[in-house]
Amino acid sequence: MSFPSLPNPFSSSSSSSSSSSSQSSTTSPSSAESTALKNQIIQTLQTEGNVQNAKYLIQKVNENCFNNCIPADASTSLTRSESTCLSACMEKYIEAWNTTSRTYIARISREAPGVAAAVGGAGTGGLGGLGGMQGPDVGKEMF
Amino acid sequence: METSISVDGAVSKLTPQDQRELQQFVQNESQKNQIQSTVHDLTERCFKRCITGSLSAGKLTSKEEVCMQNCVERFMDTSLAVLKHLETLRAGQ
Repeated sequence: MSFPSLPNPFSSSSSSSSSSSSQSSTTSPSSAESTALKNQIIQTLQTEGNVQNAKYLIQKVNENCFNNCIPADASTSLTRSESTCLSACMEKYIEAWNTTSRTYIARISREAPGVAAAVGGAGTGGLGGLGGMQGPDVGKEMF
Repeated sequence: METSISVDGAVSKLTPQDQRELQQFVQNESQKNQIQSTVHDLTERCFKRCITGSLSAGKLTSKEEVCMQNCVERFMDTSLAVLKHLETLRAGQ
């Protein structure tokens, strides 16, 4: 089950990233500078959105896995089995998030194709953000 | 990460065309945020129902996976059913 993602027409990724120094030198916008600036703004917003999403997910993992793995009469330190439980729980929760995302997006794209098409990358964007989360790069951004 | 830019000041330096494109992007992004927020909500709701066994392996069992999918679908069905019934109640008044 794969959700067809529309290419984001605005996400020309890294070509624009070094233009910030030139933005104050002109008053009337030249089109090249304007495009570079626009792409930079988009990238900033995108990164910010991904970080927020990942942070929220981790918050939810904390809440749910604490509830699932740590008993009410918690001992003075984390036991080995609690620690195993937490790791398993975290991995399951992230997998559950991905399943939910796929199922939900498939459903809304059946029922309201317009909405799903308009967001296009929501599924892949979200999943991409989370997929990357397991890697070291995005992890660094989060903490 | 790069130095963050002041979006408010920067927008006035964009051509009208780029401003429109940026606006479109923001609209899409906000819709995406709404979807992600629903996904977070549904994940938590369904995780509580579906992952009930002992947490030793880090992968969802196929049973849990199917449970998650069904949980999401039924939640959507529920909100549709409630809306539908609300309509009939209103029509009967």
